[in-house]
Amino acid sequence: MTRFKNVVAQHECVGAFIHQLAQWIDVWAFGAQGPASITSNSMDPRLDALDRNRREFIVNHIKRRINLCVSIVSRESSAVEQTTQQRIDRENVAKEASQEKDQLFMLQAYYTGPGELREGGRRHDNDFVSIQDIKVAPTDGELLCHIPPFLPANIPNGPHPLPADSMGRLLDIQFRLLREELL
Amino acid sequence: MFFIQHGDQIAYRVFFSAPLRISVQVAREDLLAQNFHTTQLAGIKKKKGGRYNHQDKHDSVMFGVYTNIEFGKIEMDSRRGLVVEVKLDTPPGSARSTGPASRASYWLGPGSKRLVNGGLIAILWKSECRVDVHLGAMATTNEKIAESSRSSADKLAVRVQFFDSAVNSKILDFKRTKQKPRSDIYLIESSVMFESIRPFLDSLRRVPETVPFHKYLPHPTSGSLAGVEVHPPFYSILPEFSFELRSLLRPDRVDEERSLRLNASDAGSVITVRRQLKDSSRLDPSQADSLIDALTQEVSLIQG
Repeated sequence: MTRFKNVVAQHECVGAFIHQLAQWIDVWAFGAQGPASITSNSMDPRLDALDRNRREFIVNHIKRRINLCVSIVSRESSAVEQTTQQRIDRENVAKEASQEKDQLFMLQAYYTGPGELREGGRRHDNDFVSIQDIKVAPTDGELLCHIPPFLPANIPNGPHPLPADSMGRLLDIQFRLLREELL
Repeated sequence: MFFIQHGDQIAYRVFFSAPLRISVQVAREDLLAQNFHTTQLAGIKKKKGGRYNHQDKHDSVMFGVYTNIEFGKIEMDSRRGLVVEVKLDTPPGSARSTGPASRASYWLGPGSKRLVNGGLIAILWKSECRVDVHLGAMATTNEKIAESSRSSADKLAVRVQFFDSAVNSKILDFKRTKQKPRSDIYLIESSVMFESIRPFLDSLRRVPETVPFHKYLPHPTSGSLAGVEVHPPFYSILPEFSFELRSLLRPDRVDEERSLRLNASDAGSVITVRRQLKDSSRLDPSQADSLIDALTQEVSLIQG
């Protein structure tokens, strides 16, 4: 899935397969890690031969790997339906005037999203929600555009289409800010 | 960070230079201006080249401008693809020395920072009333530029690879047209060294799940790193793995049979070994702490 970037979006069976595989591994892991009376009936005699620590380590390692695949699938197949979430809901913002909250308030109030998420649509031909779609070298249309570009603030819980504590958001922000600084 | 107002659109402005975009827009505005002859670009055109200096209350940017651009052959470069030969006025200064040898040595010496191979350039193309911008990268070495400068004191030939391949067709059509529209073409050079920046930007576009330390690098929603637990290194939690630290013991405290093993996944072992290192090793207490932290955490920051 890392070599063929759009495979999850283009072939639904891949996502379904990964989820199914994750379920099978859960069942297998339960059998492999259960109490002794169950493990003696486990499907893999090689596992039985190992001590508890080793068994646990191997099972956890495999679970970690499959969870990575599941998170790739979830990220790539979730639709980008975020416009309603980006709107500032002013009544819900706390009334305490701390400097940090003011800054977040202002950021959310004047937030316009990237690419199609922007009211009024994409700013130019190189404006996209996903940085994978953005060409590194600016396009001619982008250079001439006078609309302010999408530059997310690099602070916790700032407004952004991607989930708050995700690696995807970190990479997105760093990419956009570095690119703007240098180009 | 501060907030500025652009008509009815409020934008927050962070201190970014965006040098390329600003240079291009500023030069283009000059080209489109009603009173072109009063603009800085017109002055540079009269001098057949020079540096453009832009300053306003937000930005300050300087860039090189080359004038009277003409197009030569389009060639195939095995590394870059299609490249276009571009002829331009030799800029004012030492580049225009009368002797071919001194011109060449300019481009190999002080001029080697101009028209750098791989650097970003923009062609500003005014045709009748319309101004288009076409971005590209220089595809000529300084040695080749020096060679080209020997043959003429007024003109230079360089090669450019345009990012948008449609520009190559536009140039071909332009060359073939007998009745050319009134055109005024410039080459703008930014100080951006594209080939050294591109790899960093490309790396940032990798699949997020393949980036290590995903527990530590993104901002946590709590806004603070205080609650983040740092795990031991992956190799150290393999069953029956432990570090052997006997070599750190002081000679007088080394017991031939004794070993000093640290099991990173066992909290008791960590506490015990920490104390033993402080008591019996060649390290001072803060060094002992740093060593244990480095061996038992995936990420540690140590200042020595």
